[in-house]
Amino acid sequence: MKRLSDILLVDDEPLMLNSLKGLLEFDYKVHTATSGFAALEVLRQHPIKVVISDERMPEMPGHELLRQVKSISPNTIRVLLTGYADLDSVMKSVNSGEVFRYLNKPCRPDTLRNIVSLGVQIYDRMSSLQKAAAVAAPQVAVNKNIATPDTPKTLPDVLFIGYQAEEVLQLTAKLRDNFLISAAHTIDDAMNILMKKPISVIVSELQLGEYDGLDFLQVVREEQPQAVIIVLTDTADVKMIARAVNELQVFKYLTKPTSEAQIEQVLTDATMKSELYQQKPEMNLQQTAKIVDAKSVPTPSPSLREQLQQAQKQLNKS
Amino acid sequence: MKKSVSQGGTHHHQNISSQTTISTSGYVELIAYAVLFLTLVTSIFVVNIFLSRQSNEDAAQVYCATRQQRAWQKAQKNLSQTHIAFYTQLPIDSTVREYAAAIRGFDRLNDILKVGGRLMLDEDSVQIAPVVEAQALSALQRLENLWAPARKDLLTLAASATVTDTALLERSLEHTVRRDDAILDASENLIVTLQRTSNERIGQLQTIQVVALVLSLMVFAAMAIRLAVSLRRRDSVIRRNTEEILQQRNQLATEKERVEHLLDDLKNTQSQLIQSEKMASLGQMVAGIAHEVNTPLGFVMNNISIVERNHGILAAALADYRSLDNMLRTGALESLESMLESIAEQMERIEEFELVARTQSTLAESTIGLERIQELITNLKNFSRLDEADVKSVNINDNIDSALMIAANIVKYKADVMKDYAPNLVAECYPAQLNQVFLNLITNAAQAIKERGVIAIKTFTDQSDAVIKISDTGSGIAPENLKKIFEPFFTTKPVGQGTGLGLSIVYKIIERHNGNIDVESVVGSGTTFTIRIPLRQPRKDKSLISGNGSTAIYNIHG
Repeated sequence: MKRLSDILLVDDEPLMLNSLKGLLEFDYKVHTATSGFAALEVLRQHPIKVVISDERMPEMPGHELLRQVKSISPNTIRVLLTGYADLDSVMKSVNSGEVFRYLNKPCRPDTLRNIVSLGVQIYDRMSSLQKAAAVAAPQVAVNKNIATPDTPKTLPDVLFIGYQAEEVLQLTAKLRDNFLISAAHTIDDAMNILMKKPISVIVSELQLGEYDGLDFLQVVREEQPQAVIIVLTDTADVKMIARAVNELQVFKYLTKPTSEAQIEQVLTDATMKSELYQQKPEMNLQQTAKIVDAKSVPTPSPSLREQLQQAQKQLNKS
Repeated sequence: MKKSVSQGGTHHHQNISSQTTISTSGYVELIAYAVLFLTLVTSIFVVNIFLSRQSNEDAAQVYCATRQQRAWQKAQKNLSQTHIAFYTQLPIDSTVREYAAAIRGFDRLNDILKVGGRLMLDEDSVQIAPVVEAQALSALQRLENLWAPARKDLLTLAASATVTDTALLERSLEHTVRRDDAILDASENLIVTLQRTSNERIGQLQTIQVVALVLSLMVFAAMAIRLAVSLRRRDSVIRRNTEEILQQRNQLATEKERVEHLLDDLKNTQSQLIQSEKMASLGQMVAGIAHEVNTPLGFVMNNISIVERNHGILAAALADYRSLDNMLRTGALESLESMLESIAEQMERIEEFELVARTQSTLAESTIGLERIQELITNLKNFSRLDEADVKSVNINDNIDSALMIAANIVKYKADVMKDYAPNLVAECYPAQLNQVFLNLITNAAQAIKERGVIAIKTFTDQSDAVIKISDTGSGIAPENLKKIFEPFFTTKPVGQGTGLGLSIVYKIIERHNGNIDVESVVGSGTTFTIRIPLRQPRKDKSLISGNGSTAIYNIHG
């Protein structure tokens, strides 16, 4: 008989746990915990592929649990399930827990099953590719060790989209030594830059004139899967954050005003993430999700895609 | 605005002071002109009087001189007659007497002209002034020169009652005859001179009079002009002041309008704030209810999905069982083995997951979930009490519990609730409003707790009062804020997160219950609110028509 995948459900309401377990127990080995601490204990003892946690729990809230899950078991796919969530905890769960999906209560049983199934597949793919890489690893490591000191360190490309030039200048005054920064005020500018070179980190506004920022960023994600996307905007809205996570897998969702120090830290983390995506594409959850289940990732709107292709053509001509 | 008003004020003040100086200087000037004018007019009168007197004097002198001339003629005539009579032996007494009277009269008149004196004119006595004018004096002197040598003889002759001294007579006659023309001429000359000097003086005085008149007219004109100017100036000042006053009145009107506008705005803002406070507590309530309903709703939905699936499995097993039964009865045993295998497989699964028992427990759990939702709805109804009377005797403890339930989503993750209720604490109150008070205080208590703490709720009766104490182990309220917390719009929450109306509404509600609310707080260790309301509300005379809209202000749920 096939070994069932281990998944972990966390909720402070036992009846909720029972019902979730009932939904999933035919297809998975379901572990349950009624608190964050109990959940971490389970995580240490079993190879949990997907963890689904409620946000509102006494003692340890969901976003804090997911943050710890991430450090204990980075490959575990993290899903946050919550009913009435305040903005603050949603932001925290996105930015520190790096959740894979954000689900609203009450969640339809089908949606839940699909997410768990997708999560398990992504986990499996990541694990198998990592195993394969581990076999070839020593060689790569040696090469890397030799290569690193000799080649001059190329600065990672960072693209700011949708901000005023002065704004970017103000923000990035101190960052020039470590990053190669370009700024695009409009979507067209951004496309021109994106056609020319691979970008490591994209920092984007969500209000981009006539286009929905999230739609546009999806196009960008298709073209440059290695790019790590950070949203920096002044509209913090639970629905927007949920979309940014679920459709775009944004790395961070920041609200203005931010500080230089924060930006620097985030860009450094994002650069590392981007390098990781380049070396181990399977770690890019959105890409992996697309590979294992194309339907799970929404496709960008055709008009934007056309625009992108047009830009590409023009670039090729010149 | 205030600034500009005060500036206007000083301006106005300056005007007034300048105006007073204008008016006082104007009065001084006016008085000066008036004095000058009166002086001139007076002087004209004085001159006039002087003139007429002078003229009288002159006339008297001329009259005097004329009488003197006639006296001479009479004397001369009488003397010649006396002389003729003397020598013709005619009686001379009368002519001598007449002569004597005339010559003495002449001499007296001459004296009067020289030194002044009284002269009888008909019955009146006229005062004659001595001649002083130079030309007249010289004319008089000439007459005197002619008269002086003859005077002694002629007067001596006049003194004697009869003519005794012929020589004297002869001498006298010679005097008169010889001097007759000269004396007459001198007298004539004196009269003319007196006349002329009188005319000259009159001319001079008339000139003076005319000049004075012209001067007084000029003064009058100057005064008139000056007065007109100052009147006009005062007019312009008055006009300016009037304009200023009008302007100030307009300003006041606009100011008033603006203030009214502001007041309207304030009222609007206030009602908006009250509305937003209502919406905020309503939103909080709805969110709380949504969260509380969400959980049971979620698992009931999941459970239905589970039961549906289980039902499918059980139904399939039942169908297989039917076919098997049918097979056995009809003896069609070809696929018996596979059928048995299939049934065994299904049974294994059914048993492994204890589907029958589990389905039952799933249904039982669903019932629990639905009951919980029902309880929530009942509580919500209890809390709002939309379908109940305003004033009612209710169990306060139940009210607190329903408020706790509404606030559960906030309280649950912040605090443990410790209840210490006096059993069956029934009090007469406006339950919906009291619920609002409890919700507000419980929510505040939970929000005051940073990490995790305790909310203690104690109810008891004290004499004829119901007392409710709600304590938290939160951050406490700073002493300087403590006395302000019931004031409307006082809030320590960031802008946009609190209207500052919550506790002021609480205060109003408790006031309406004829109760009172106290607060004690220690920064860092917590806050206790103590509410005290009478068990029975004092009876009010209920009017049949309600004209009191005060409930609208704080009756959020009503």
